[in-house]
Amino acid sequence: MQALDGGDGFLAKSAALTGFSEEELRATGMSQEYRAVVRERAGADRYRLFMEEEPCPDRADEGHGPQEARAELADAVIHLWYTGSWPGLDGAAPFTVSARAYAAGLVWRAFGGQPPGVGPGGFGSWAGAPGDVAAGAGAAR
Amino acid sequence: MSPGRPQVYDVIVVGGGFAGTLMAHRLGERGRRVLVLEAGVRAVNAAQGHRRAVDSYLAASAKVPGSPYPSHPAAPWPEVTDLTGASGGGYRSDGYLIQRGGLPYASGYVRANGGTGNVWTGLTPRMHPEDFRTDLFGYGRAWPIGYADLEPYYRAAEREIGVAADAEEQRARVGLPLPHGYVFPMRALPPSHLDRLMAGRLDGRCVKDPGAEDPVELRVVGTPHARNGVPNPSYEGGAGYVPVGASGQPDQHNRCVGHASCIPVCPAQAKYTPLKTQARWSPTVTLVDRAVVSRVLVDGTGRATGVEYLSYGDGDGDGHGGGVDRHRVTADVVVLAAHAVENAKLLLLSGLANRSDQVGRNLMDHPVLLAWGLMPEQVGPYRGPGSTSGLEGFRFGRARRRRAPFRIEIGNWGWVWATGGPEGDLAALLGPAGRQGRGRLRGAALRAAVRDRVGRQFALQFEMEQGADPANRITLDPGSRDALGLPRPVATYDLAPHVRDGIAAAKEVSDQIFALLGAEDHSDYAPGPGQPGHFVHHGRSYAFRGAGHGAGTHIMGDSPSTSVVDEWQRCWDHPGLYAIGCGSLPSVATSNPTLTMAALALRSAERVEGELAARDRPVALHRRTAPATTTTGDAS
Repeated sequence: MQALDGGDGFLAKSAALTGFSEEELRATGMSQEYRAVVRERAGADRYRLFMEEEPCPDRADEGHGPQEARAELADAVIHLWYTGSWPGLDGAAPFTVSARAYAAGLVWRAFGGQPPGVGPGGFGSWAGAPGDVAAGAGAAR
Repeated sequence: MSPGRPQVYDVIVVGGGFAGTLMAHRLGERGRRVLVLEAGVRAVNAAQGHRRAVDSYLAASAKVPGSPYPSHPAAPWPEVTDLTGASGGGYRSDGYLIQRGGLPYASGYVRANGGTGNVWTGLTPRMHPEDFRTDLFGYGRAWPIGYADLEPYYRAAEREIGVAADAEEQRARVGLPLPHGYVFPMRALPPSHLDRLMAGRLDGRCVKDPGAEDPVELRVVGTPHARNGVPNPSYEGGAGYVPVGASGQPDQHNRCVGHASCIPVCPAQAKYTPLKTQARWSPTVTLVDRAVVSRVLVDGTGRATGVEYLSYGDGDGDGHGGGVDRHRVTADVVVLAAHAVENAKLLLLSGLANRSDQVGRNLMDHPVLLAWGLMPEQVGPYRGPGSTSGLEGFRFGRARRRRAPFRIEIGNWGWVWATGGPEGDLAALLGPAGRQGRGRLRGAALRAAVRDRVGRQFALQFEMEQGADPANRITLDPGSRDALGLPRPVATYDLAPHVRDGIAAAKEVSDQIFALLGAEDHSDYAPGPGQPGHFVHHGRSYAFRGAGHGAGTHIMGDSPSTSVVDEWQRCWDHPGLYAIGCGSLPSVATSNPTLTMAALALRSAERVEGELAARDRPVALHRRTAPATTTTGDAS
């Protein structure tokens, strides 16, 4: 576990924010890379503050100042996990981390789908009910 | 060509896209020496080029149509992101195509080998017989030919590009007079789960169309596709059909597997692109890429003799790699197949073919009204082809007099076209405004909200016919030049009242369909950054998108005084010069135009071959009946 998230609880924090379990997040293989992106883009101080925020509420309070800055960073971390793209903070340009990151986007898995261009269901899979996706509905003729 | 390598060509084709590739293929099959000049970049190795295209797409931040393909400043193209709506209405444009119209010309294209045919959606409905005579409904232009003239070439195109469809359904539900016993190369693709949900709630129900006297019955109908499905063993009298797969190779088992990324790239290579045909070109066809034709050359009699082109180096898109060289190359026949906008640009640059003053005019598209919403239940969006079925009841008949006809595509890919896809939905759920002040969404509540918000999404895409209007046009701006010093094209574009009435009727129909579906309508046409196509009609806001179906800039007709090309897509004014592609269409109908473009290209290829055969015919001495002047001129 320590090797995967640097031992600072990034994975646990991410799980609380995204609604996906640590196991699900670990399975994407993106944890270390995302932690590095967040640390680099937020800066060491802001990253530390963000990680120290206790506890991670289901719904953060509205606010201004440091509280709001932490909430913005939390939104950015969610965006990263859900889409594979860093949304940009404080006016910086957004970017997609990598093709692998795009493919690991949770936004698709949230409704049982797959990112376009990645993980196709097979011929005719689109004919099946959405719940059939994982099983591969097979070829409707 | 390069010094020391003198080459002789029968035909020069300008553009390695859909029409040019088919033209070169047919002539190559007859042993003709064809030079294809492609402005964009060609992958040296087709398989590597395909992998690179997929990787570029997956890694792109903005997954726009051009994202998989290498671009170069020497051959720029308009991209959908060039346009931005203003908050108070109106639009701004910032791209290669200069916009000076009341409304923006909202469609782009791609200048890479294979052209816009790489990124097309792969839908192949035929035009209907009545689509060739919209003048009888009081708008547009008549074709010099009819459906019956084009029918054999429709079949040839369906074979060449591999179409999957249900002939019986096309006869019964679209009214197409397909020949007795005809079946398509492949069986119809399975309809999507969404199609079936819709059919269950809509089939047999009626809606009121303000343009029609009687209520219109709804019916969900499968759309023909140029993507691989199950081959039909009955095709061609039992000969069957073998799908064409990766890198143009026959592959009995290649199928659409539902990547849901047909635009801009099919990872499975199940969707047809011109690259598949290029892989089967005869050795007598040569393609030179990074070759931007700058002028068409004619002799003193007006006959086309060749082209001048600029070749640029292989810098990696930074505009600094390699120099620019000027070349001249000659041939007996020159075929312009560079896209409607680029064909017009080239004719205007050359000062040719414009006796009618119609070059660049009659610019058309399919203006699209999007309607998007949430079904009551999960529908499984973002699976399979972008659209597998549509509603065809608003395309034909007398209602065309009152409002533009339209075809309704059922959109399988959520709100991707409407709002940019799930990333936008997520952004709307995050942030302080994400829950209207009830606090930021986190954890399980967020995950459930994303599922609810995206998993029920669908869209209806109302594609309007736009009649030929000389005021909608492409011109050149000599004061604004591209990296090669060529004047950039200028679009002057607007929507006529007939089209606006069609869009208004479509919205009324949409409202009734949403009610029948029990769906929440989230369509929003308020002016803003995402709505460059915003306009007000009879006091209501609407917004349209471009379908990427550029047409009409070298319009076909029956007279050199009113049209640019004849029924064979030959420029009236210049023997040996053809302008092919959607630019020739006198009307765009409501069908996606690629199949019709392909059929016309195959028909014109026969005529070019006829001209070359006439050239090659031995001079018959002592024959009194042969006209002495039968060379390569007008042999009709």
